[in-house]
Amino acid sequence: MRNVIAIARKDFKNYFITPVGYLVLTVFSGIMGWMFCSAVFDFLRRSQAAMRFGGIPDMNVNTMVIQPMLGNMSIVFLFMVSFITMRLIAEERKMNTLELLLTSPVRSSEIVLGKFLSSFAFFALMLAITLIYPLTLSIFGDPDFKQIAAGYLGVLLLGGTFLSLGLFISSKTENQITAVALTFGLFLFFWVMSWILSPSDSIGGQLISYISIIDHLANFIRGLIDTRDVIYYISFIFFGLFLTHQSLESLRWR
Amino acid sequence: MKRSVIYNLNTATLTLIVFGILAVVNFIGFRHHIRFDFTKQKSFSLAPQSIKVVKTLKDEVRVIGFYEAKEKSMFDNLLDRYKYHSKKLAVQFYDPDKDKVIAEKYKIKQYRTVVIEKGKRETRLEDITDENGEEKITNAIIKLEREATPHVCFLKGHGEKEIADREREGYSVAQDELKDEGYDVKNFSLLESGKMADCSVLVIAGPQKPFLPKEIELISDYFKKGGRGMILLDPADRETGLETFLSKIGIVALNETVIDPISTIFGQSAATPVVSEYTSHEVVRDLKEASFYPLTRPFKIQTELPNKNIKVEAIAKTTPNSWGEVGPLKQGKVKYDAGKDRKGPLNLAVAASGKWSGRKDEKEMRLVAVGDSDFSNNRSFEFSGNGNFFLNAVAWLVGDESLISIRPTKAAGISGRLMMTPRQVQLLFLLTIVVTPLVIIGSGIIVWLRRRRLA
Repeated sequence: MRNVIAIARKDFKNYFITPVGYLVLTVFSGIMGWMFCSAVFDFLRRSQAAMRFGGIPDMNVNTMVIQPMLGNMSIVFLFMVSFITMRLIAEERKMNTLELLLTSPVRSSEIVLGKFLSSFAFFALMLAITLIYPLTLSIFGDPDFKQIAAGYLGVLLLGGTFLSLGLFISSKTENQITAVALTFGLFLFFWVMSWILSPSDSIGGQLISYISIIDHLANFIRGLIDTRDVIYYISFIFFGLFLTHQSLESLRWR
Repeated sequence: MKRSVIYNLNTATLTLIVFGILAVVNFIGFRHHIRFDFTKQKSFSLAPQSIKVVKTLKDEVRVIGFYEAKEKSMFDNLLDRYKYHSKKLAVQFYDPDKDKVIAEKYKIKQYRTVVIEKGKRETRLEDITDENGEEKITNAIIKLEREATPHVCFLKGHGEKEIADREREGYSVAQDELKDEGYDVKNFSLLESGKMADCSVLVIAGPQKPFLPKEIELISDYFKKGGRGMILLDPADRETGLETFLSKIGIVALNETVIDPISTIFGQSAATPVVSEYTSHEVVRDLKEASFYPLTRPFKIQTELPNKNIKVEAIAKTTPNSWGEVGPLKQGKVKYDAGKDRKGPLNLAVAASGKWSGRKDEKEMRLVAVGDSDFSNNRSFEFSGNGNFFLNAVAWLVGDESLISIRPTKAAGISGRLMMTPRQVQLLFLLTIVVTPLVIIGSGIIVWLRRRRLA
């Protein structure tokens, strides 16, 4: 356990030694800030227009601002995951520090967990920054915080999934660019899949929509925590970490 | 070479096994899952009435939805809430554009149609959305669960309110709402007395003209044989004859008008008392909303009931600030005349039940008497608790206990508003788009500077 934390801390610090970490945080909060502001602006404008026509409309800041924001956040994060995970293992391979790590008495599972934790902590930091948005909304309005909490939980789990897969890909190549490209491509594939496949009632259709990573997020964002979705994401994270573990083990053999 | 092949095989097999285990775990989790509704409005939970109805389903009920493909998720969301509580619901989805044959078979004319089947009977619901769907679907299921459709008969012939009347004083809204609850509603005339037994509930809504003695006798017999009915008796100058019947049970319809100077509807006169607290009688036990009664008369329940087998209870009372004004109402001020007017709290509505002669094999009669017939007319039905009060009363009379509970309504959508001035928006803009990234960049620079100093 101590090893896990040691590895996690070291990698976490790494994010802030080079500009990469700051760049990711800045870009992410910049984009999300922009999306948030325009959503709020749009919402206010439409509320005013609707009120002018008489009657109090069904304008709800939860469904019209926060939920889309959480959804967008997931997509933006999808594109940025590759940058967070790429260096985790690929760089170590390139710099041959991985050999050092593997020959040390540290177990592969501890390496995997440690690196995952560091990226997850970084991701949590990204999310924490976005908490400003619902907080400012609560000063001026009345958002449903319980629902927002459920939404963030979903994004956390989804992010964990992306991270574990990104970690796996990072463990398979030496080239960071390749890692980025592969991760990018894989997630794009998942995302597009949930778009294209039209919902149908057949067992195949149900199965495919179950596999779609992003579809499970919808329930969390709307305020529903279903044990099905939690199990789904945790299984995914576990599987990603497992694959990474296998990948590291195979590296030991060489 | 061989070693690596074996190694790879091992890895692959192990991976497959792990994947298999995860798949099984997910499959089990899919079948047995728990939902936690984290919304303020409880959008993912059914109203207590719906849960009650669904949990007590004995036979399989099929729910078939016909929606455009893009609206399938709305249908799924709605039915997921039901499926969570019962395994007896078989839900199917068809896209009318793709599955034309099935759509034809069910004669689907528009999107958002839901057909509910139980055994050989079926109900068709149109324009079912996420918002109105729960109420309609629950009511449809209740309707199908009943063995036979109850008939609500509205009496005609003495100037009663008409169910076909769509004007403000009419009862067309009450009729529509009753039909939504699955009842059959029709007019009834005492001259066709042969069919009186077909009525599950007899409603006498605000008669103006007196009844013939023979008619009173028929009504009396109806109740004596275990009939169920609602008598809405407005304050009037002339007696209708129903008062005599009511007094036989111990209900005295007083010739007064209820005045409540404090608990009244804003904008209405003091002659529209509001009832916000109800007794513990079944009809009103779960009613949380207030109800109001324009121009109503009070009832007095005799302390010594003439028929000991019939139980009489008040169900809606006015506040102690009210009184029963004796004599005609004049425009302008009205005040409490001690000694003449009767002080509140007064009974606006009473309920009676029991077996007339007290024999075991008799059918139980049930009666609800209200001193006003305007509270459930087209103008007032949909306000506050008026509609629910009326429907609950009918449900109790029919014996439909499953219908008496909170009907699914949209929770107050007050959460989710946002009010900001232009300057506040500017501040928000600054804070999120400018300040936050700057802080991040700033801390990066600080860290970088620190390291440079150390190097």
